Amino acid sequence: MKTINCNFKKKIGFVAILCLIFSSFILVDFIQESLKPMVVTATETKDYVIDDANVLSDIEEDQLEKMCKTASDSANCDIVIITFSYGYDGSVMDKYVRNILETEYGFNGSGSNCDACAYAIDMTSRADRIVTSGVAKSSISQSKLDSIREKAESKLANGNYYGGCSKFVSDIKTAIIDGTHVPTTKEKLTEHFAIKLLIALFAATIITFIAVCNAKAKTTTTDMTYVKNHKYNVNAREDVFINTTVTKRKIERSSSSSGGGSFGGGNSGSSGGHF
Amino acid sequence: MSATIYKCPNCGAAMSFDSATQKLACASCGTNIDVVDYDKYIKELESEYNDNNNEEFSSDAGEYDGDSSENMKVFHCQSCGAKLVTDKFTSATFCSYCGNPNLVEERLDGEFSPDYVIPFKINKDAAVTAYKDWLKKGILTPRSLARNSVVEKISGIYVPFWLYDYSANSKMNALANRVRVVRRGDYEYTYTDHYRIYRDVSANFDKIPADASEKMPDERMDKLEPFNYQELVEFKKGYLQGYLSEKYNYNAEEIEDRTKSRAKESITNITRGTIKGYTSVVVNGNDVSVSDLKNTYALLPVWMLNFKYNDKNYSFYINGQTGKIVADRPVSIKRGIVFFITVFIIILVILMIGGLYI
Repeated sequence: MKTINCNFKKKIGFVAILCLIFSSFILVDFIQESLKPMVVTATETKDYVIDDANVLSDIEEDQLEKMCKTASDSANCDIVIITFSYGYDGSVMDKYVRNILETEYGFNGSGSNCDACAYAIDMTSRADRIVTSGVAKSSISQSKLDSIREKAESKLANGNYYGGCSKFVSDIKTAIIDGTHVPTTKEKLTEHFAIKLLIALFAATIITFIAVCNAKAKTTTTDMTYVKNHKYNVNAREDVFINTTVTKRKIERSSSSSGGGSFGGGNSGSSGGHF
Repeated sequence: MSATIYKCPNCGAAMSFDSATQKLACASCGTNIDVVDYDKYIKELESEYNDNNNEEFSSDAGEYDGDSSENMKVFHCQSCGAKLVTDKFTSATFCSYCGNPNLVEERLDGEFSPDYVIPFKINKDAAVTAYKDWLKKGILTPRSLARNSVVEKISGIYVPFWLYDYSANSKMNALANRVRVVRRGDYEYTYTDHYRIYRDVSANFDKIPADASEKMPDERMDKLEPFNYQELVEFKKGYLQGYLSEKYNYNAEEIEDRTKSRAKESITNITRGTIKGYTSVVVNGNDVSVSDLKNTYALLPVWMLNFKYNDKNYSFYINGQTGKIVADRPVSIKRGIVFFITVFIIILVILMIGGLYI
């Protein structure tokens, strides 16, 4: 009876320790969340949409303005739309837009490397360009940036300028948030939780099955166990060589075409194209 | 037909064979006497009695009752006179009333007299300890099987075995090849050397055992092997005192096939083992011959415990000489569930913690 009580107490203690570990992780996450700094929104005075080329209606401009402001607040980065008809393209367009960003925008203050990005459209040259700076440059890969531009560009090509600009705003906002997000302890713990659960279930099943089956006694005798004096006689041994066959094979060399290296977390600062 | 008790020459109490000292021991006065010496002592008494009385010595044995069926026999215990009922194969048993060991001599005489015996090396306490340790090692084994009511049923039994000596020969033909690969420039050359192999191997097999008891499962008895034949001694009835035993159910010819096929398999494997140094070997002919040399009848020691769990019968065997355990392990569903949940939680926690660092 004493032994049974002792074992039961041990089991209860073990389960209690496991519960304690679980709850400590949740507690740590709660503390981290409560110590997070408050989010500061952007000022009301910025114009997030500069439609010099008049490709947007007033209503569309207003809606886009609200969208950009909300997205800027969420991403902690000014997201701006600029349209013009100067015939700018390439590096000229890049320099022009970057100058605007650095002098008039920046979520946490203007200047070089300010937290801002712009989608510029030149109706004369039919060029579109995303210019990034600060967190928008460091947190989005070049391939991602190109992809965002191409998706918006496809709408511009159909004359849907509002659609293209709003697509840009939503995609760039998501990309910046994903790129800058630092997962909390709770998020790290529960990341891919369903997969972890399945793996744990599968492993526990296998281990339990092995424990159930691992009760069989094994045969410990060998072929030599009952051989008298552990000796046998090889009365005759013949190893006769017959012939040799040869096969020949060409070794295939794989042509190494090394693809472009990935940028890791950042981009070059711009992505341009035509619609 | 008589049942016999080995009585202590000092105090007259019933003696049992002690595995620790390998002698007959008296629990009452502590006398220890070697089995061979005891036999001599009895023979001396016998001849002395016959000389003095001109009558044939009749051992102070209980009498056969005559009240029996085809499969059961009834005897009288020499110690208390109680009736002992045994099946037709039992040669050593215990009296249910006084607990004294009794030998059924007629089942140990003549053609049923064993040639050899390996005396018990492991006593009852050691067997019980081995059983309890085995129980503890099973994570899912129910602990209720360690109760005294289960453990006290463990019995030491001398199991009848036939030991076969064979001379075996194998003539094996095979094709083998050796492969080597050479690279020259952009080409790979594979050279395969082909060989014709012949081997003629012979060996003598000594005392391949086969249990001759119908009650003992052959597979379990095979797994209890090997016994150490260095400790095989000439049979004396005294070794059986304090243990159960049976005479054989099958004679040597009836179960010979089992051991012959073992000898054939062994000589084939030994012959195949002499073909070495090749990348691959294909045996395309093997002529095996096995001829009988000798067979002997021996009693080998086994501790046995039968128990029931969830209406299912389980058996636990220990080699009474080497201590090797052969047993079924019952599974407690409750313990299985707890084990599963514990392992699941541990693995999940490890995976979650691992996610912090990746």
